[in-house]
Amino acid sequence: MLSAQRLEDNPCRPRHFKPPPCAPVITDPKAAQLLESTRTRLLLAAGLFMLVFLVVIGRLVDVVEIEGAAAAARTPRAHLVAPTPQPRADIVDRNGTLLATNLDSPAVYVNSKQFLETGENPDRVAERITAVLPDLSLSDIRGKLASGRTFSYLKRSLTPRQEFAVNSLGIPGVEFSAAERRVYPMGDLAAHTVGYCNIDNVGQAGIERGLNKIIRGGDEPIALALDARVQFVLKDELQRVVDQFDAKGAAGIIMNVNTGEIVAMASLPDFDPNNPPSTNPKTETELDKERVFDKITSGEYELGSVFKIFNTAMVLDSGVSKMTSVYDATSGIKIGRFTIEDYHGKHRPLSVPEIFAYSSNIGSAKMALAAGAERQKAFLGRLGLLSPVPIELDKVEVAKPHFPAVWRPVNVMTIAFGHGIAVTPLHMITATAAIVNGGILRPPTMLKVPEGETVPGVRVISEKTSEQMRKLMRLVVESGTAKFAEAPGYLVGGKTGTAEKNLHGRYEEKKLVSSFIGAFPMNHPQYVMLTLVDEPHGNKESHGYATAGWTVAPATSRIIERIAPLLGVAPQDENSPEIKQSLQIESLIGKKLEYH
Amino acid sequence: MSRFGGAFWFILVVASGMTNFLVKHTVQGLDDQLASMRKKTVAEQKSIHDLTTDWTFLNQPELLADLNNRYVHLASPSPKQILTSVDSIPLRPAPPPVEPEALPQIAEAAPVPPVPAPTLASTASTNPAPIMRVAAVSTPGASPASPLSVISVAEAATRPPPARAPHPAKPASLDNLFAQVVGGR
Repeated sequence: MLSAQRLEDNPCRPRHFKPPPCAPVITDPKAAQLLESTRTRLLLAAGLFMLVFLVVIGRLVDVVEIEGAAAAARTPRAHLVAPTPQPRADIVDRNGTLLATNLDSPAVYVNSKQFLETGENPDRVAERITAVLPDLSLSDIRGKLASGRTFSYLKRSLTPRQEFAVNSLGIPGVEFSAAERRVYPMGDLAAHTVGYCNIDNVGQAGIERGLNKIIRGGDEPIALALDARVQFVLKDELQRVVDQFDAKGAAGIIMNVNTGEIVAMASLPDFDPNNPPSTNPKTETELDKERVFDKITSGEYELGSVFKIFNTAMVLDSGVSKMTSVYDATSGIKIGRFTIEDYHGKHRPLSVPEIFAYSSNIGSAKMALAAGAERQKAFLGRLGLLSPVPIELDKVEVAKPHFPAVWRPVNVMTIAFGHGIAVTPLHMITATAAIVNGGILRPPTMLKVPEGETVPGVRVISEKTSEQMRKLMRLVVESGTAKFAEAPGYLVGGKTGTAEKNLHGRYEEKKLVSSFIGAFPMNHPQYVMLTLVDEPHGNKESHGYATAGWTVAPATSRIIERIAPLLGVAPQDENSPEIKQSLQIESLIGKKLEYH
Repeated sequence: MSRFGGAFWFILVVASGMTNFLVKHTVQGLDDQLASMRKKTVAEQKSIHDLTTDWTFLNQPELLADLNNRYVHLASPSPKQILTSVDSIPLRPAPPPVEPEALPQIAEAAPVPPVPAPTLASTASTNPAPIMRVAAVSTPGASPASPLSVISVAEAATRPPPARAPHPAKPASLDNLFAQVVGGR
């Protein structure tokens, strides 16, 4: 720098010679030092900027060329459209048929302030709106349009078509507000199973109530074990029984014996969950109560002779009796004021299969006495008949069974034929499934069990007893009280039960509960089914009888014939030697049962 | 050297800026496209859901059964009509032996063996109704539940249509379903 300065000062330098630029000479050493440090800072800043740019460039190359799609996938996309979360998950049947879902049902409202600014004639616009929504009153709409208020509902819960029509009118100030409604497209088909919701989308009954939390939180549909087609058949035939016998109500349940899945469950009279009956104590009628009441899970019944299934299984399984054991049923048993009698008494000693097939109360009572109270109570407890059934329903909807606190000999005898103990039909079917399926008790479930999955259970009787019970139940249909339950090819077996209703501590002779519990096919049971009719009245066709053999047994036959092809149960030739042999009771070979 | 350096850095800065802008622009475009596509998908899903509900509503087994009773009179197959295996299909009875005098040439040229074609001879002979496949009342979305081969003879010809009172006016579309829902609350 100093040399350049010297050149400039040189008077002898050539004219064209231009000295190279150079910083001014600062003589003040303080200033020079300051300048020098500034220069260094500038360089440092430039270097820093360069570095930043290099990083940016490097990153660009990295993102675009090297990482590519992997980087794109990491980038959050906050502004993307996502489906609005449903307030409640759908409920579907085992085949995916929709049973409960949500639908948009927007409300249409008027912002009168905005409308009036357009200067349109409220009369003419009101006419246009009524053309689309004819159930609204013209004067009402006109009033709302001209009110000057910013918000007044015109109509709530529009259908998609109505929404489109109103939107197409293109009236400024007529707006929509979003809302969702729970709808049940199958109507009353499975009212008690599915249940219903209130206006705040809170489950009030059935699965909607039992699994309320799961349904509210989830997006995935809840698949029930229910089969809508089987459910329809069950309901249809039960309704026929109600109409035919002028009954108060009826109920039915069909369960898979190997998984505990409830494939159909109906209780009549029922209701439409889209329009549930009032549950307000002030406005609720007797019929409303009856319709909402689920006879299967909440109804407790002294079911009568169907209990002989458990009584017989108990004595056979414990070894108290054998199939060949004989009990004297010649005359009734007197206990205090009461006498235990047979409905169609044979008045002779009867073997165990005969007691079962003729449904002898005397024989059953004697069998139970032989086993004793302790054993009876323990056995019924093991079958789950003394505690509420574990199922996916709210506790309120599952009834507790009623049984004597002290198990006296008289209780032992009456419980043997299903009196003095009240259980729900759900108890009955769960326990019967265990009796026929080889002896494994599985909890019932309303949810679909994935195909191929085995449901764990508890052994309650031996396989041998289960086989004996299957043979006995088949005998009842072949030549006992339930001949009308036969569905050719499906090897139906079961037990009838006709019990008098216990009203206020008295048995009413004319008020019956007739039930039939059966399974099919008896050589290898797949489904068990219970049908029950409440207060049937005999008619001409049934020769005045309102017993189970005349009321629900024929219905069972019709139901099985209709549902077996749907459930994949193949008909078999019941006259084939293998099947005959597999269901034959050795002690009865050569004997003929004379049932009247 | 410093001149070249400056030019290098200038070009680099401009190029990186351009690239940055172009990439950002492309990404924005793709994002918009994606957003509109997803919006359409959501709308489509919603209308599919609505239509499924409508379809389920229209396919209530009760309504289908009523329509069947009124128009087609199909009946559930009876156990005899359900064949569980190919072996259970009866063979057509062998034709009577052909008289050698009546058709000498044909008999010599090609002796006709009894046709072992599987037919529903047993049912068809007793029931002259046309053979057809009867689907049991089924609901939408139902998987073919029965593994059996359900071959049955329509019983329309033999069974008179059940004398059933016409079904009470059932809502015929989603609008009516809504009307029901709303009416009840």
